[in-house]
Amino acid sequence: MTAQPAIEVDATVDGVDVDLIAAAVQDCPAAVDALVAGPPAMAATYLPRRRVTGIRIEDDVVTVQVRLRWGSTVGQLARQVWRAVRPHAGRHRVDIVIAEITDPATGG
Amino acid sequence: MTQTASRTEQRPATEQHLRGGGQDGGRITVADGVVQKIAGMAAREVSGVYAMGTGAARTVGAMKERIPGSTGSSVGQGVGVEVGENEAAVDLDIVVEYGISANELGKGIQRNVKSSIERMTGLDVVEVNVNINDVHLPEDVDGTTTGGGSGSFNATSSSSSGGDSRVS
Repeated sequence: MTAQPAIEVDATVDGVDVDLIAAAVQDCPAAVDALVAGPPAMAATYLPRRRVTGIRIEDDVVTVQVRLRWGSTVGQLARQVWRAVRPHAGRHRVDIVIAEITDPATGG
Repeated sequence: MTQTASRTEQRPATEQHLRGGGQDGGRITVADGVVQKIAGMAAREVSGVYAMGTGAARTVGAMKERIPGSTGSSVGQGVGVEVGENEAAVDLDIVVEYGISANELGKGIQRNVKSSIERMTGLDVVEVNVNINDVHLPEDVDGTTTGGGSGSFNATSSSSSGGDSRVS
């Protein structure tokens, strides 16, 4: 249980770069507040020494679990996420799970 | 595309393709908590709604507000939701202000909740049940009534009525 030296961990799962997907989703600020772990989809990618929350790749599906920004619609979010993620998803289908929504006061 | 297409005609056309498979076949799932929060906000927005939740839920919510660091009563208090792949149903427990028309208020709540959820999520709201379970009488902060009634009247007196009705 000693501290490991920092090694760049390859985050490619089944030909999909999880870090690229995470960055692409977080570049959808108009609709997405954050990637979230936990229910209902329990989406997370477990890598050596770290994990990427909110994204899961299994079989032919990339699942992206996010928090919706109050004031945006699910339709806007879906369009933005699909446009951003599809170039990085290869042959995978992209499913979107809206797990949470921000509070109206803080969501703008 | 979906079996329920004929029931969703009032939904904006731009949202239609997002349900039951989008352009690339991806699915969209909306968690219960999201619909619950939208419904709670939409119901509270309507003038005439004093509070939400059953008596027990409001008591617990009031106690939580006194705990330092607690988030207090949540916006989802008094809201029950059932969310399917394309449809949602909502149950609301409401405390109304004294002097309002419960029937008209109920219709206003149903309208606002249905339109808010459909606009923000694209889900088809098939049912909004509004249950009015108390009336809040006008009173001062220290609990004395100002409306000319005797002191024995208070917000927790048994003035409740069922208001279940459906959105057609």
